[in-house]
Amino acid sequence: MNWKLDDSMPIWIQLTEQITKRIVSGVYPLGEKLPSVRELAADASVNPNTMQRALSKLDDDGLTETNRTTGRTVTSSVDVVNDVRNKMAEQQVKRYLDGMAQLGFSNEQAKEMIELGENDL
Amino acid sequence: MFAKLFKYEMKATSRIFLIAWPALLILALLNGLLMNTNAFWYQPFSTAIVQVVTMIAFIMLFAAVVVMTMLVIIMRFYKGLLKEEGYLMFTLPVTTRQMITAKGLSATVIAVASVIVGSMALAALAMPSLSPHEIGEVLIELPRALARIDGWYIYLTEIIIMGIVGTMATIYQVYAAMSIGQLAQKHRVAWSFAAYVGISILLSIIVWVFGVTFPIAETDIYTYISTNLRRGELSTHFIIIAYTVVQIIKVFAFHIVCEYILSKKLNLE
Amino acid sequence: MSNQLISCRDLSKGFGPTLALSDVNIDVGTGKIVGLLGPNGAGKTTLIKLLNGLLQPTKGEILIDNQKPGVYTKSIVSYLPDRMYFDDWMKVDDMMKLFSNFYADFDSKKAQEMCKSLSIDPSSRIKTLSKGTKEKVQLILVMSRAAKLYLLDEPIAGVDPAARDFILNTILTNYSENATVLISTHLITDIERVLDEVIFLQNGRVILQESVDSIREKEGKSVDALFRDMFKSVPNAGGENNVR
Repeated sequence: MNWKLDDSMPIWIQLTEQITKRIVSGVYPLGEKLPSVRELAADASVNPNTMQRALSKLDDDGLTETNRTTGRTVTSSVDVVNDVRNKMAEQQVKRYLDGMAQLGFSNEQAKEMIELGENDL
Repeated sequence: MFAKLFKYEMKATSRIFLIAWPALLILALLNGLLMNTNAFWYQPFSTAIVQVVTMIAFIMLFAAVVVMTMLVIIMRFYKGLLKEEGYLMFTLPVTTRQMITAKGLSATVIAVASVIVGSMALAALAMPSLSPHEIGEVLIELPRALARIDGWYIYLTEIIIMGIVGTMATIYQVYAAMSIGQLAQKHRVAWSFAAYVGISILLSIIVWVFGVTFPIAETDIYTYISTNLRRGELSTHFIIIAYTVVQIIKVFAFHIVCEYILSKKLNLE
Repeated sequence: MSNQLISCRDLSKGFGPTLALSDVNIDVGTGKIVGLLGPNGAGKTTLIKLLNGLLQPTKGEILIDNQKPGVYTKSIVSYLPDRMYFDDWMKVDDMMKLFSNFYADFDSKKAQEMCKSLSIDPSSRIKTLSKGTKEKVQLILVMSRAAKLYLLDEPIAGVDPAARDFILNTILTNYSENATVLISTHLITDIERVLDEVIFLQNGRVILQESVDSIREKEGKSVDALFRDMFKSVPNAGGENNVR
């Protein structure tokens, strides 16, 4: 697993974000059991308490559920996941449009650039 | 815990001796059998060479056992506690007292065993050259000579104990010297030597002072003897026992020095 | 009575005229991975030796699990020194037997499995192993104990990246809520993500004791960056290019 972490910001926030991305993109499918805190921490080479804090946030956001016997599983609710996915997508769009505006592009022109860009992919 | 420590020490120190001791005895026996002092100068050259070589080998091995005994005892303490290995030993869940005692006791066992094996080797050297008749004579005369001394077995026991405790005292003196040497920041080995010499000098002074200030003690002893048992015999026992007690006091004193320094003033590099 | 695993009060240690540590007051709880950071000569090793009983305080008090350093604390503290402490003639499994004999919390099976996964033959003599392998053996022995406090003195200095990853991975997979790991190092970048909190030492004094998250939030920089800023004027301050 690749974890891109920046040491100048709290790690747990970055971990929450990256695991969220994996959940919404289906890398961790709905209802799937997540590895243990310790395993994830070792995989990311981070402190287990840090990972625990990141995972607790996921529980708070409703993306995961923790059960004493079964451990932590991704939610089976498609709605919750789609909701988060859409919100993240909105943020991406806003980021893109803001960035393009800084370069002097209008929103219309920014949209055109996407279509052009798609052809290159 | 102490038993574990002692077992560990014994296993680590005896390894090399369990090879050297039997080798020494075998070599001694071999020498004894080959030796034929009467006909030495009339032998063919080849057999003479064999005898000389085995004798040299024996002497070398004997010297080696002596040196090894001293080295092993010193090194187990020095390397084992005061150098890198100390990082392991002093973080084991045992008291400093147990550590020192385990080393001291096992060192004494090895030293005494070496003395016994050495003596046996010398005996094995001499025995084969004696004829059965000569051996028979010795076996008869020896008990008779001993029997002429009243209570010879008591003397023997006292002397053996004295020897063992004396050895222990010497070993502990070395340990104390090394512990004192450890207090120095630099040149610890040199300081250890100096400490050993210093302690020896100190002990000699104490003995001298004691002898000078208490000449009366002897008078008391003789007064006591003349009112009780035969003259001379009790004083011999007394001397042996007194000497033994002094050695025991030395062992305790040196142990206390070691324990204090190694538990309060340890500073491994 | 403190409920902290480690508790130091006005701790000082002097060697002759020099004071290696002065007025150290720290508390460390359980279930933490703590970094003891500072330039060379700051007093990190001295503090660790005071914690494992290899040194006695000149002044002040240390309590580990509410006991002064002694036989009990040695039985719950697992120490990895910054040097090799083997009797060279021993074999790897002799060492394992020794640990098993003297430490009730030693897990032989775990040690054997770790050796196997690193292709270390337990019957080999320690003398014959490479420096890197010897260090791994020492780490295996220390981490195979279920201790309450692990004291690791410079475990990753002078070690190749693969070995470093192995060491950090071992520390993380061994993590337990009932234990605390105290790692002393001057190589901060490699290790800061693994830490819960850090203690900065300089010239024998505690300059800072703070949780890592709090540092990142408050200062907006990595622990390494903060460290470099704080010790800017000190030659020999931490960093990968530093010679040990």
